Parts: sequence; C-alpha cells; structure tokens
Amino acid sequence: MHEIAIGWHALTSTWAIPASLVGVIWGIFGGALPGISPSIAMALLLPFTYGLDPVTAVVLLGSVYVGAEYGGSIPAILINTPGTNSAAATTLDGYAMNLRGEAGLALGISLTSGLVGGLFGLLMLIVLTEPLARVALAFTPPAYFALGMFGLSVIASLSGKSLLKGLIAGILGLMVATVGTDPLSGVSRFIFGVPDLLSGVKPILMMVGLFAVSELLAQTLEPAWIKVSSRNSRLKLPGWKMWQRLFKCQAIGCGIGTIEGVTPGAGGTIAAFLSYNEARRWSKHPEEFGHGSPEGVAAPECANNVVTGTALVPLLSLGIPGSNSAAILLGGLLIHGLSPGPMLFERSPEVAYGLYAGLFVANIAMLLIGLVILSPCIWLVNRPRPYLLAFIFALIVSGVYSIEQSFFHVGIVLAAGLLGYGMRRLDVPVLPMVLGVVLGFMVESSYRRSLLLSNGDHTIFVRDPVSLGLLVTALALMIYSLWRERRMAVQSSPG
Amino acid sequence: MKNDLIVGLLALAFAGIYYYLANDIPRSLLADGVGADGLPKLYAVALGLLSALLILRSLASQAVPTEPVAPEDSGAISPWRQFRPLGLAGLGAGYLLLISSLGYLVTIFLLIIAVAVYSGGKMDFKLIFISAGGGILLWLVFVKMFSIPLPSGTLWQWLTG
Repeated sequence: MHEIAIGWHALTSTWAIPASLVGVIWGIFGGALPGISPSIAMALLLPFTYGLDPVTAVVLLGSVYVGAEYGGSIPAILINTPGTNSAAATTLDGYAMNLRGEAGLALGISLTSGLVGGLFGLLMLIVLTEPLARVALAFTPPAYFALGMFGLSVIASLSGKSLLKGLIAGILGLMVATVGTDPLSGVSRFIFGVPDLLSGVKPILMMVGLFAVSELLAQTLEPAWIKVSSRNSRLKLPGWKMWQRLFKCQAIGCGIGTIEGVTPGAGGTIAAFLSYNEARRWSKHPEEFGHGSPEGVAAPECANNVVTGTALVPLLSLGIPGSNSAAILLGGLLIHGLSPGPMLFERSPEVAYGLYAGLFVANIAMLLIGLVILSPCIWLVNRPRPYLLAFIFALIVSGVYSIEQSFFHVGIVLAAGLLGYGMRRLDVPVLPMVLGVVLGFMVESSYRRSLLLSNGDHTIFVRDPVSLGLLVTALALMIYSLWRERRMAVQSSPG
Repeated sequence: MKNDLIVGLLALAFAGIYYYLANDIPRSLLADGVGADGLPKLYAVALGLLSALLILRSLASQAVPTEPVAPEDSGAISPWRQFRPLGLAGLGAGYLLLISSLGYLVTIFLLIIAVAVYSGGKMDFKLIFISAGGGILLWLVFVKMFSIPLPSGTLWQWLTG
C-alpha cells in the first residue's frame, strides 16, 4: 500500500499524466512510421527530458515504448509493412484480414490485445523487479564488476548471426567509455586536447547517433513506403464471442512475452513470433493462420506489449538494459543522475513507483487514444517521406544541442550516426556497442576498486558468492549463445 | 563473408592505433595497480584478437568451395549509392558551420530544405513553405518554450546593429 501511495503521489505531483498521454501519442505516430522503431522514437525525445523532473521523464519515455508497439501494427495491417520489428508477425494475418475487408477488426484486436499484454507486462514488472533488486542490494565492488560482465554477456544473445562481430562491437563501446577522465587517478585519456571530452562521451549522444541518426542515413537509400488508403480508417473493437476465442492465444502471448521480455537480449520481435507459432499450435483452427486468423493478430500483439513491461525488469532491478528501448530508458535515468538497479528503490523510490503508475496510465491511454488516432496516423504515414526525414533530422540536431548547448555534442551524434550506418552496412550489431558504452565505466571502476580492496588478488571475484554466481551465469549465457549460433548455422546450411 | 573481412581489418587497425594511443596515457602517482592505461590496453588486445579471429574465419570460409552464390537481388545497392548517406551527414556538418553566422532560425530552415531535396523531395514553393513552417515551429519549441539559448547569428546581430 505504501508503494501505491508513493506511485500515486509521484503521478499527481508531477507532469507525469500529461507526459504519459504525449508519450503514447508520439509513440503511436512513431511506431506507425516504418523505420522509426520504439527505441528511435524514444531517442528522439531523450534530449527533451533534460528539462523535466525524473518521474515525468521516465514516464514520457516508457509511454512512448507502449504507444509504439501498437503504432507498429497499423501499417502492418494496412499496407503489409510492419512499422516496428515486433509487428512483423502481425503482418502475417493482419494484412490478410485487411484484404478480406476486416482491417478495422484487425486493428481493434491489435489494440485490445495490446492493452491486455501491456497491463500483464506491467504486473510482471511490479512483481519481479523488487525481489531481484533486493538481492542486488548485497552487491560489493566485485559483484558490480561481475554484474557488468553479465550485462556484457548479453551481447552474446544480441549478436544475431555473428558472436564475433557482437563482441567486437561491445569492445568498441568499452573503448568509447574510456574517453575522458580516469575514474580512479583522474588523468585524462583520449581527449586529444579537446576540453569537451574531459567528461567523456555521454551515452545519450551515442544512443541518439547509433539508433536514430544511423536510421535516417539508411532511410535515404530506402524506397518510399506504400500509401495507406484512408477508407480503412474505421476501427472496430472485438465483441464478447471474439474475446472468448482470443483468450487462449492472449494467455500464450502473456506467458511467452514475460519470459522473452525478462531475458536480456530477447525482446518483442522474438516474443511476437514465438507467440504466433504457439498460438497456431494450440488453436482450434490452425488452418486459418496465415489467411486472416484473428488469433494470428492477437497473439503477437499481446506478446510484444507484455515485453514493454517485462523488458524493464533487468533494467530497473540490476541496471542492465536488455533491449534497445531499455537502453534509451536507461539514458533517461542517467540524464537525471539516477542509477537504475538496487539503489533506485532505496534513494529514488518515487521514480520507480511513478514509472509503474505512469505505465498503467499509458496502457489505458493507448486504448482511448488508439480509438481516435487512426485517421491522423494514416495522414502522417502518407506525407512525402523527404519532408518527414528532413523534419526528424532537424529535430535531432536541435534536440541534441539543447542538452548542454554544445555544438560539439551535435558533431559527436553525427559521427556516431555515420559509425552506426557503417555498422549496419557491414552487419555489425549496434546494441552491443551501446551496452559497452553504458556499462564501461561500471566495469572498469568496479574492477579496479576490487583489486585495490584485495591488494591485486584476482580471486576476490570468485570468493564473493554473488560475483561468482553472476560470472558463472554470464559464461553459461555466452556458451548457450555460441551453441545456438552453431545450431542455427547447421540448420540453415544446405543439405 | 566479404563484410567480415572488412570488419576484421578495420577493427584490427583500430586496435593497433588505440593501443599506441593508450601507451601515451600518463602514469599518475595516484594510480592503482592497474593504472589508467591498464584496461584500455586490455581492450585493444582483446579487439585485436577478435579481429584476427574474424579475419581468419572469413579467409577460411572463402577458401572452402561452396555452392554457387545466386546473383545479387534487386534489393542490392550499387557501390556509389552506398555513400549517399554521407551527404546527409555532410548537410548536418554544414548546419554546424553556418549556424553561428546565420543564426538558428535561418540555418534550420535551410537544413530542412536541403535534407528534403537530398532525400528526393521536389524543390518548389510547397517545400519552401513547409520548411519555413517547420523551422518556425522548432524555433518556437526550443527557443521560446524551452528557453534554449540557440544562436541568433552574427548576421542578425550585424543587421540589427
């Protein structure tokens, strides 16, 4: 009850509620634009959160995440083009329903299943985060180092087809984190006489550059997306019989979304496809899947919205961002000098509980706003893409400058954008690099502090039980990812 | 696999440069056993090893006879077109160069026009009108609403005395 009171107070004593509404609207629009992922939509707002109080800032960013997951299903259903990666599974049956003249119903199923998933994910976030965070309160410097290594081991599951490239990206991120002032001795490293680099390279600049700017650069090569017909602009909510039919597949989506969301590196896309597969397996009408099955829309949409809550579990409890969007939310917390992890609940409980309350408002707002926002969304998606790209680019350069009124920061973002574009062209995953930048300081300072405590004895990392447990888990995760990569390579090889 | 070779070579070169620069990090009297240069050098060595592995893997896979590769599909991008995004980044750099002299409002207006045209938009009155509207909207949001001290430009200051 005490926690509910804190959350309610945080919600009502700040601008969190309006921020939640703005975030959902921004997220739906952003998610509806192909190429603008939830993390990019969040990254675009990051610079704006500087002037906000911490609760409003994290609620704003979290609400964008919620809205974007629904927004991505709009073009998926209407033009067979997922607005977000996690909406790709929705195209399979959503577009088929559209061709049958049931686009409104498909959108209604997507919206209501998203609400079910979002609220379930929020419940799981509340239930799972604090117990995990209490464990982390026992952390010592060796445990923090091991936690950083565990976070970096997530790189293994984020690396897609190439673990080596993922590790290279991760180390590059760690290298970027060494720029600036050494955490223990105070000497400057890799600043090349540039005073702006004394405080290091802020993770937010790398995030905006690697995610948002690199996407804009890549968009200059993409063909224009198909126009959406406005005759599909009437949304239809499912009736009671349809709700009964969808119950099982939504339950499947909730279960899979929870597991995949909590697992760092998994995320909404995997959750959506797994849920789709399992919903088909357990459906009374599996033959309808791929030809316009309502369950084929409900299962993935429910799952990817569950992930909006559960993906924040490792972030809030351990400080480990396991997805692009969680990394952006981490950026929002870092901007306000907050460290996610166990100390967040001790030192700034209003931020954590305020976020819970804000996400609840966001999910309800998503339903209400989703009922009326379809026409404006279609209008926006149909704008000439050069105008949209130009405005977003202008928004980025203006927003980044507003962080600390530094044009040098704008230059870093552009450089990071070029780097991110190059990485995309060469199939090098970007999120591992972001992880390296975010975790680099913690890894280095904890490692060196631990050795100071132990007079240089490295066995301190295995004598500490929490550290040992995390290091073993990190190793197991790496080995499992290697095994999975090899299995996928064998399965996809001819013969 | 060609991508892997390029990534491996670039990363290996970067590892070498980074290690060389790490050697120049001064040693402080307050240094611990590891020192300010300890982990940077470790990262450079790790990056070098991973790069070498990637290069070896790439060369090994090129040496193994494989099924004939299907011709590149229509989604492939021509070599020159891949550099097109550099132009967009160049427009951003141009914005940074001009903003101090022309001021935020004029520069952001020019940036929106330039990016729209570069992205395939047609240069017409509609674009100018939309760019002006977008520029004014951003100016209102950042300068007036958020009170961000964006430069008004030496040109504006000269014009207004």
